[in-house]
Amino acid sequence: MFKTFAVTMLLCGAAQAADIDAILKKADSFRMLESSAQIETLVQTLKNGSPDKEKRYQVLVRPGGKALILFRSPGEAGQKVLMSGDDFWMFLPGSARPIRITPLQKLLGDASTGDIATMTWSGDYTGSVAGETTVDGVPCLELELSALRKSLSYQRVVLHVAKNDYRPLHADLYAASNRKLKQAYYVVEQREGRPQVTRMVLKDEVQTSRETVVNILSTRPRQFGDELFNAMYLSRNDVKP
Amino acid sequence: MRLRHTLALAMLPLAQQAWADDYAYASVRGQFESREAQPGNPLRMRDSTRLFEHAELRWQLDAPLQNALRGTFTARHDRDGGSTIRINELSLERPLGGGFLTAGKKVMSWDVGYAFRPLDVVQQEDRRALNPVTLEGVPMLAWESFGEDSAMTVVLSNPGHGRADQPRDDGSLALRLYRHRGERDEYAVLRLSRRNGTEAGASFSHVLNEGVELHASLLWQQRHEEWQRQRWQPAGRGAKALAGFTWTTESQFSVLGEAWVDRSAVSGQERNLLLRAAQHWDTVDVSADVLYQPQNGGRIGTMSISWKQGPWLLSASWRHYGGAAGALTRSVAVATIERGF
Repeated sequence: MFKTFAVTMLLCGAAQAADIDAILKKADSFRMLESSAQIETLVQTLKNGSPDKEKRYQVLVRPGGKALILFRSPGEAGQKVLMSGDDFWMFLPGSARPIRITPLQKLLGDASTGDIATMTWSGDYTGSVAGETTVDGVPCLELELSALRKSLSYQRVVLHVAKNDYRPLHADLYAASNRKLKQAYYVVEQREGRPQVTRMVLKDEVQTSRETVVNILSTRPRQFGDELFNAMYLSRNDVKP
Repeated sequence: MRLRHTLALAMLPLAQQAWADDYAYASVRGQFESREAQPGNPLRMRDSTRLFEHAELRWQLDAPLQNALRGTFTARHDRDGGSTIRINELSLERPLGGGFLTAGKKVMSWDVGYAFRPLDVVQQEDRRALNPVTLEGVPMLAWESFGEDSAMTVVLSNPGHGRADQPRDDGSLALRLYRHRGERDEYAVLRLSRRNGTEAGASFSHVLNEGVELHASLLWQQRHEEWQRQRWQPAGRGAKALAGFTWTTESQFSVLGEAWVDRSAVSGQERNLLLRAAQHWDTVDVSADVLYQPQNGGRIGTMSISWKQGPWLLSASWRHYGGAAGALTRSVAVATIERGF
């Protein structure tokens, strides 16, 4: 009897994990359809509701948690951040050498590179459906997610996805200390014949006067060579967009 | 029809997948420097000030046949007279033999340290300069290959040169191997030159946890030279060693510590300890560091503040020299305004 109960509970747990994976993959598809892509972003920072800064980044993403962020704004053009799973490097054109950095050092810049480069949840987070609620009148599932890797910027995420199609609507983002760092709102619009996340609004919960808007200007499927995600390649030329 | 085929064949190489991006970035800066001489110093140096403007242009051009041209040009005008225009980098890069060839003048830095870098055997620079201007590259012929987690670089620097007046102008053949092993980057370097004979070294950078990184370098030299009486003097076998760490907190406070031994340094300055603390707030960075030379009691303290808003950067630094390190100079102050385009 106990054995039957235990097997049933295990199967239920496995089924729920499978459900979460399917939900996260579907939610991911609104942010990035292709697993290997070039994404153009415009990041705007607001202070007390007024525009403060505006920066452009080109992000090259490949499966396996690999992302190369190319800084494109005046004053920081030529800088690069390479992310490969839990490993990070920074390149400053003045010193012409790739510098290995810790996960916390990658947060030192104006924008959190994790916000710009981490475009997916599946594979990085796991969890369960915690309940149902509404966000701006839309019936939602509330997902309680925890990071699978310590290097991720947010170790706990409470994600709200639409109940009917699992499109992301809102998320609460927490640090490892369980301190709430940011709230994220996702704007989904029709682009190239399909619904896509075109804008992500991040409200800072620590410095409450700050708000960051990550505009996804375009997403283009592209294949990249291995060398592009090798830290030693950072001192070579930039690839053509 | 034949003409069309001929044109199509002629255009074929141009139609290959392009791999380099065209770009041009520029910056201009104005810098003021003030030096306070130590009263009664043996060289009778006096207090001095300097003001200069500096412009930098970095560009890359996607050339036909999978070539890429890169360059960094600078222009400088000193208010007390004298202007210079310099080609800091100019290189042609193209795929070759499963790797990439670089021919021209290029900056190539290799080591993992911040204040001291024993494995920078090709590129040598003044690493503790206050607000330094653009580095000048080394003429070279280089071939590099890249795997998913490894890389190899072979560099013939200053081709055709033997031993020059300054080490950076020496002809040499150098090899660097790189391997990425999870949380650790590992490097090995071998260099052959007429001045130092064989030099071999290794280094690593290891990320211990989310906030701490450890790094170390060691270079063995068959021969080395020491800077004495205003010239390089032969001094037998040599070695350079460095150990250091970085520690960063969630509140964006960071500490850097480094200790090193450099047998090619001036007597009494071979051993050094550096401690640097920095805090980052949104647009403002503040830092303070102390360099201590235990052999002669020399102390060099530096404080810096910078403010960055969009393309603008304002920074100011003040450095004080104490003990034996202050024999000639008591302090230096530098203020910079810079704009990127």
